[in-house]
Amino acid sequence: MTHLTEEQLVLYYLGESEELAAARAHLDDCAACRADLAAVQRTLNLVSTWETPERGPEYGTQVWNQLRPRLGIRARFFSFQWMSWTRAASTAAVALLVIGAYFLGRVSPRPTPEPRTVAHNQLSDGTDRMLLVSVGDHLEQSQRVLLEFANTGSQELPLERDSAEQLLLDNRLMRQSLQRAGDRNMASVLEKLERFLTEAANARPEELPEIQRRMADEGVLFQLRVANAKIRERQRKLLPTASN
Amino acid sequence: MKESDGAAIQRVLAGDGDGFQVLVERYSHALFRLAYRMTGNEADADDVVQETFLRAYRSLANYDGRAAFSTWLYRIASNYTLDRISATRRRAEILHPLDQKPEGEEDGRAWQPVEQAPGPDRLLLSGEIQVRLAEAMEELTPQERTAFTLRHFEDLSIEEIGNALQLGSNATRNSIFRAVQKLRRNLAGWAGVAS
Repeated sequence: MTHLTEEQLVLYYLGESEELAAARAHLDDCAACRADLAAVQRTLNLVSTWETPERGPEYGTQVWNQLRPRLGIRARFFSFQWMSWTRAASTAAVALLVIGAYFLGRVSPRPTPEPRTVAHNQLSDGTDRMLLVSVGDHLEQSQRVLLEFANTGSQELPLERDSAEQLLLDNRLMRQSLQRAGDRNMASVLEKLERFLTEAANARPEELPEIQRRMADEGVLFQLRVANAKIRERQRKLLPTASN
Repeated sequence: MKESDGAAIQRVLAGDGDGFQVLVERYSHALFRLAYRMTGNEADADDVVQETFLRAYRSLANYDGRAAFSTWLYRIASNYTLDRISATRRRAEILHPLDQKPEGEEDGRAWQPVEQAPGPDRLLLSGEIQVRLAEAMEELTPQERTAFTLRHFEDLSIEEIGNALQLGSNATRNSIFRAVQKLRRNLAGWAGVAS
């Protein structure tokens, strides 16, 4: 009796034998070949236990976040596919606040016009105070996130990236509202901030040092601190007016 | 209801690049496992995943739908991995042209299968087996390793593997057989222990 070769056994086991029926017939009659086949099976069963490292449930999203800028796809203005419900709710709240403030400002009777000495902006009524508060909070959050981003390593990148994406959406809404309200100085601060938030949201780990260097060169964190201080000062000036 | 691969692909081809996110999120884990088995290295596997999706996106218009989208991705990943390994080897040869292969390298590292399982602790044993498995896979040539991985772990047919690696049916079968042969030899002392 001619026994099956190792190649025939392996191909039989894999279901790739070209003479499947003949091999099966031989195995029915040959205990030695059945033992060899069992040995092949044991080895391949062992190989099947080879473990691969685990990637978390967010791995697909992480891959996409790194991939998207490389594909030349910009982050969507509203993309509920990649936003969690919490983040979507936060964006919706900011949007409602800004839109509500805008329309409220259009329908509310304005106080008797009095000469004012506000140097660089037209934000003064109750409606605009809401926007000022939102912008102030936004600047503080952006400052915190960019500060973390400036000091982060590539391992922590996804966390800052998510925060930056959220802030990017808020930033666009507020910048547009500020432009409509004629506050060009603050809109310009947010425009610059938007550039860095975009980079932070789309940064690949190897791009991190370059972005961090430019953040330091342009003093963006310092400018944010100054802008935030100005906003808070304007809020303080406006609050006593509101109580009058 | 989940969007099908075909619908997501159509969306991308119609200009909505974000449709690709569905495919990336659906296949990233499987692609990572495949890439890890082919490269044996986590960082390399992550890179293969990124590069595979990048290439898939850029040539999505060429996907004709005859094979499953996952098979098409595996093909891209396999080719990229093989190219990458070749390039790494070429660089190594240029940098170290006088290096000689150690004796026995051609057939693998030629480590001796152990006669006895070490120690009674199953966890330790399991860890040791994982190391041995990784080493045994390392002994395969890139082509053998890729062909075997696609067959054994991903259950692709000989024809699909042949298409992916641009090999004929016989060459594909031979690659897989040689892979199993080497694995049997290198894991001879372990196959019974683990069962």
